[in-house]
Parts: sequence; C-alpha cells; structure tokens
Amino acid sequence: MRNAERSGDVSPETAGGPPGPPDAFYPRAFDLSGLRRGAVNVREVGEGVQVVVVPGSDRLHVFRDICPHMGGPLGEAAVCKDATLECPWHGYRFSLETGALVENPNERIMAELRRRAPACFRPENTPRYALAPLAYQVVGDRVYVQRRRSEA
Amino acid sequence: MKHRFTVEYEIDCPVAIAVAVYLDAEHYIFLHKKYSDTYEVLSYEPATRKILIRESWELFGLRIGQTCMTEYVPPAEFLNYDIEPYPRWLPSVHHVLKARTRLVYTEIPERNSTWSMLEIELDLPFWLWPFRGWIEKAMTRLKIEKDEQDIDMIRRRAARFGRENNSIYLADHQFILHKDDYLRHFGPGSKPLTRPA
Repeated sequence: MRNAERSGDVSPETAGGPPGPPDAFYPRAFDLSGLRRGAVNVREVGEGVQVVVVPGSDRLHVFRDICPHMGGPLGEAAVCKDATLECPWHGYRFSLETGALVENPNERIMAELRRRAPACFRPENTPRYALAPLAYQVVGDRVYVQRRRSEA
Repeated sequence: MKHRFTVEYEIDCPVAIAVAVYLDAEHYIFLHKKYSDTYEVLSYEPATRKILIRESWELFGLRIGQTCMTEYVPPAEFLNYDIEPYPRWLPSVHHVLKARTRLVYTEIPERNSTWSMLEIELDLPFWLWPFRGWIEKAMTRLKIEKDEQDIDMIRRRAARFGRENNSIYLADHQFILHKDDYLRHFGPGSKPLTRPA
C-alpha cells in the first residue's frame, strides 16, 4: 500500500509517536499491516472513539463508526462493489472516496408507498447526510488518526 | 383447531419510539436481513391502513418467501394475517396452517417504557396439533430475536440522540409507514397516551 498522500516521511526519531502535536491526533494508533484490504476494519483510537478503516488501492478510508442518519454501527457495514459503505441498519450507502450519501435503496424499495405519502413525507428536504473522512498519518507501521478540527 | 399464545415483555423505550421502529420499514431488510433480504409492496389501501407485502429470501438458488397482509391500528396496534407462501406452488406450512398476529404496545407510565404484547392465533389441521408446542417455540424465538436486534438499535440511538428523541422519525425527509397517523399520535402537539384500564 502506498501511503504517500497522507503520510509524512518516517524517521527513526518519529517512529514511536504521532507525527505532529499530540492534541491533533487520537492517542491510540493501530497497525497498518493488520488491516484487511477491501473490508471494514474497526479500530479503537482512544477516548472511547471507534473508527472504521477500509484500505483502498492507494490509501485508507477512515470514518467514525457512526452512521449520520440514525447512528448505526458502521463497523458492521458492508463494503459494496461500487466503493460504497452500506449501513447495516437502513442500507444507506456512502462513498468511500468522499463520504457523500450515494444511495438510499429504500427510495426504490418503498417507491410505491413513498409516492402516496405527499402530505407528511418530503424527500426534497433531505439533509445531505455524509460521512466525514478522517485524515491520518502513517509512521512506520503505525496509523495515527487525526481529530477533526472541532475536536482538536 | 385453534391454538393461541402470547409473547409479552417490556421494551425499554417510550411507546413513541417502539411504534416508530415498527413503522420504520426502511430497516426491515437491512437490520433484519438474516431473516429476509427482499421486501416488496404489492398493494396499499391508505383508508384502511392495509399493506400487502411480500418478503422473500434465497434458498438453494430459489427465491422463496411469503406474502402477508399488514394493518396498522393507531396509535400502537399492528395486525398481520392472510399469510401465503411465495411462490404459491411452494410446499409450505402456510398452505395448511393459518396464522394471525396482533401486536399491541402499551405505555408503562412509571418508567416511560413499553409493554409489548404479541397475540398469536394458529389455525391448525389435526395432524399438526401435536406439533403446536414446537411451532409456538419457533415463533416465539423468532419474535424475540428480531426484537433484540431492534432493542440494540434503540439503545444505540438513545445513547447518542436521547431516549425520547423521535425527531428523526418526524423529519420531513424520513419515510415511515403511515406517517400521517404517527405524526397525529406522536408528533408535536399530540396528546399523551393513556394506559388502557
């Protein structure tokens, strides 16, 4: 796996800790080599925070383990062939690349019912659900996940 | 020959949440995909709140399942009946066994919690009568397993958004079955439920 996009140069001096200000990263790192490719890997990064990690062809896709729709556990999500992550609760599918909602399959499955509920169901008011990709840095074989700016 | 039994227990959430989860059809084939991976709406009668649905799954390359009439009786009662095998020619217990279920959620005011009572009536031919206990156990286990999945979802949602927070189900963009009725009974300005005597 190529880490160049998000990783800094690894030197012996930095190999033992996060590559930047400690507050900018979650305290616990995980092993790059232990990740299963093309699958959802759940990792604890400290402070009770779990992230899901899906190794792509040239980088990792890292998100919080929480679906923005209803809080579903993305650690139990499925990685689909079209490079999306499918929430196990309602099947909402998010792009691994950008985190954007790509499809709510229930729009198709429930089409007949949804069409008949105009008075109380306004899909045009749908919020733009999206997963927020988390940045990370690789030091040696260790992956450090950055906090989002609002958390740092 | 009629065999009736009841499955009942407390679900630790307000009735508004329990009803919303039941009406939230978008989760049926995802959270409960272990049981059925396809859900189709065959007909819908808004006036009577009846929806004919087909649930199916694949077995040895063949898609099999069942059709069922579902009916919502607001605020917190759900009926299932007229269960038929799919495809119709499929050898199935539903050709000879008629099942009818009635699920009622009532409020437990002191804990703002929900009492779930499922009444099941089986109309069995005489030769299935000796197996009624086994059928009862299987149906009870299925009910509990599905409820456990729902309860996990309810707990996780509650931890993040609040135990009584049903705002996502009320949101404009969120589709749930019979949403107009749900809004009337559990939406802003709705009257509190009272426990039946």
